[in-house]
Amino acid sequence: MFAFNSGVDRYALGPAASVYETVTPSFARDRVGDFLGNLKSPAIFVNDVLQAQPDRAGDTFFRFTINTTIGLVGLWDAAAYFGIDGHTEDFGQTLAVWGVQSGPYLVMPLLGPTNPRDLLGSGVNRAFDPLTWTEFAGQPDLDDQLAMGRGVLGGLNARVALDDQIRTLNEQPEPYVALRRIYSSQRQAAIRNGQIVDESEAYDDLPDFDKFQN
Amino acid sequence: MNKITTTAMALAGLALCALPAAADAKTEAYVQANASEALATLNDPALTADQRTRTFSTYMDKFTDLDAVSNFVIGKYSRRFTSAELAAYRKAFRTYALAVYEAQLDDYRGKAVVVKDSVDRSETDSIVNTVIERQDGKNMDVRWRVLTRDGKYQVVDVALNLDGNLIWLGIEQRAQFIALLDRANGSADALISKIESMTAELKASKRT
Repeated sequence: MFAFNSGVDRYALGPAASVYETVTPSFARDRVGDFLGNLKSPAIFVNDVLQAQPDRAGDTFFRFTINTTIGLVGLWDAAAYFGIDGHTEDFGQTLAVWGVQSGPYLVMPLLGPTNPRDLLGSGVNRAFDPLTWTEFAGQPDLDDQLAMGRGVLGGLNARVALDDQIRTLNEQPEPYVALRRIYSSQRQAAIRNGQIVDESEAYDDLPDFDKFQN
Repeated sequence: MNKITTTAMALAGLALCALPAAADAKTEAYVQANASEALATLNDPALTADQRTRTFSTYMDKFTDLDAVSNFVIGKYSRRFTSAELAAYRKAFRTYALAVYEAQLDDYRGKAVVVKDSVDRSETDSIVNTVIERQDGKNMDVRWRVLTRDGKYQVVDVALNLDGNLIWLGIEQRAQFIALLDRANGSADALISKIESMTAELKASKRT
């Protein structure tokens, strides 16, 4: 499955993102990124609340309010100028905070690395997204088309932003092993909201360097 | 308890507290000076690309023990390779590692390494926490694992703090090298040819 995803990235997503990068100025891609990021705010807010993080929930609420108004419907991340930086949250992280174990590492077609907890989390996260429930009078397909457009645009934008990381990953001796390890540890860090477990314990698990010296 | 004993105990206590701190300060100074000098080398406009690589390699040889690192990143296989295989692998790894370090550290060229603090894991094993400003203006939290051998310092691994995720480059490399060797029935040739192809790619994308 990892090989399939790598193939899709190499022959379809990568080239498409490269065309997208060529035809759009970075200014436009930033606006797309800010706009789509702002649309995620309601779901982030719900997860902040479910994780009992009032400060972070407040940040998300004010960011959404400021960016939707002063930031012209989210095209500009105006809140960041006022010193309220964004963060992400999703229901997979909320489940982890509630004590749910991740289960085995999985690689899903197109979605990439995940685990049962995060997979369930991404499903529930969609339910927190207002666009999932929006219907436009007289145009029953419009919401689906918008969702699809957002998915494609978001995918291309994210692929351009991740280009360096994907290149670094592909330069690794074992990209599958590298991604598996990084995904797991990066998710753990995200669940801890970017804090190192405990600085005094951060080095307890380091391997003995001299064990295999001859 | 008489006064002399109390004073002696207090002094002994002070000395005990002071000992690791003194070791720390020296290790910190070592990382500060050497890491900054290596980064300065990468930024010296007077050097050609080849000279830069040579000077940088000389620094890295003083700074770290690449043979020890090469053993670490193949773990148990360091005892399973024949001595000829080990020698060939070390040669390939050395070229690769220097190219990787040069490529990785190039993002930080010309920048100062600012030491924050350090933690002693044992008398001979310390972690020095530093902050380096990258070329793109972003501050990176970089941690150096320093071992003391025969009174000499050696950096054996480096960690980057990516949003609360400490990534030890040597440990990640080891996980991948061992996975590759496990799949290839422990074939040294398979690992060496992989390393050589990665070195070739790195050299092709090098800054001139």
